[in-house]
Amino acid sequence: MKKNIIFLLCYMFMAGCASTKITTIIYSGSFKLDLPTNNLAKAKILSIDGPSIKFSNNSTISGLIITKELESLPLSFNLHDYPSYSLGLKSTKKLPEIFQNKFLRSSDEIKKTYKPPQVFTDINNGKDIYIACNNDSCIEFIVNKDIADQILMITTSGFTQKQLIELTKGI
Amino acid sequence: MLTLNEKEHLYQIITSVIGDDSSIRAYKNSFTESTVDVVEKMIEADIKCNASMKELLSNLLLAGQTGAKGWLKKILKTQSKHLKKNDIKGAGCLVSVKSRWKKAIIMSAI
Repeated sequence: MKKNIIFLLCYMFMAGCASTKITTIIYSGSFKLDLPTNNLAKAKILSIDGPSIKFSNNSTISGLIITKELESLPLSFNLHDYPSYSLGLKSTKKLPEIFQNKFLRSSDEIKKTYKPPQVFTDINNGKDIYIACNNDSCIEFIVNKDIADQILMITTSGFTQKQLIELTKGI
Repeated sequence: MLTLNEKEHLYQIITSVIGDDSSIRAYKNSFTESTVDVVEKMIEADIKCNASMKELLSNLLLAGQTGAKGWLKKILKTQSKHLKKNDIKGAGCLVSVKSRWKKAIIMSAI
């Protein structure tokens, strides 16, 4: 798994990858992203609602841990449904009106910003992946079926959908 | 390169859409023409986080024509006096939506 990620980033950054040292970006105790340390050379690392990186080639990757508290969602809300509601893949009719409206506004905006989303299960770790991209940027939700209290949202620019899927495998 | 006045007006437009945000404000002086492009895309995505959005669009329409790529840059450079300061009138979108645009805005400023 790590070899694939290293190859992908070495290719993207045209960087020498003789070293296989890994730097781990920690979004939470449950979601971590391994990156080849070499590719962080001249990168800018900052916190914008979570760890964010602007690489030397200006591509970016950011993560946000989404919880019910963050979105002020009711305790009964199943956070694993958040990506489906946000992407307009599931009807929000059963939700209280205030949340219906928020999810509808969100899905409208996402439909205008990205191409239709794809949903699949990562065969390597069983996590559900929801991903939508346009020519320049992507949004990806990663759901760990064993973790009920949080999901991860990744946003990128400068990565293709295929590159992002490869990069976040095993996250 | 944006003038201080253009950066200020650009920030007012951002607050009209996603509300006042201290972390975006911290990067206001570093806004670039790339930031204008990001904000233009945000407005075109019809993001409705704020009830002031309608007022903002009215002001922008008053100031010029939206449509062709680069319209916001043109308005900022020529007619920004038409852009009024808006107050936040309630959050209407998910935190994750606001956060996604916030990240894009700040990334464009570094």
